[in-house]
Amino acid sequence: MRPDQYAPLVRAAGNKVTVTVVPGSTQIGMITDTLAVATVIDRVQHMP
Amino acid sequence: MTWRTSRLGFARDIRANRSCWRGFRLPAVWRVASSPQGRLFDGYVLLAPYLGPFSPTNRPGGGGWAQVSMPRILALTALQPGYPDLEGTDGCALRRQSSGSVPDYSELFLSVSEKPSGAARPDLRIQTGQ
Repeated sequence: MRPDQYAPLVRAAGNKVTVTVVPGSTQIGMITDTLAVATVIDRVQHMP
Repeated sequence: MTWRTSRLGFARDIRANRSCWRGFRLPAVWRVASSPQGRLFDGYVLLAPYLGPFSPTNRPGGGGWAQVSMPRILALTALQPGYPDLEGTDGCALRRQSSGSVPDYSELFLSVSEKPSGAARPDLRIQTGQ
């Protein structure tokens, strides 16, 4: 995956979607890394 | 998975999914989010979603985790639907790294599992309720 490409792609599609990149995490790490899971929880709690 | 959280006393329904070729959940969330029923949920969380083989979010060649046999895929496409279970992609890199991984992916699996429906761009228009 190229995480830095998500934000430009979403913006180009005209979405109001928030893109968050967790530094150092892999795709599988998004559900296994402590930092990634904590980031997801934080974003959900602060979702507009 | 569906996350139900409480904020200011109100229950919220939030769908969260991670993209993986071995799973089937991402397309379901993707399609619900981009459909008129998308507003039934308060929000969606997509974790490193797979956006199709030609998306700029993918590394060239899938990052080298698998070897794709294009001649075989073309032949399997010609043979459809008679032999949908024949393998077209060999996840050899994964097999070496993790014995618990699925070693082979069939044409049928790849065509109906994680690939977003139709063109990926319209599906990106997620109903945000805003």
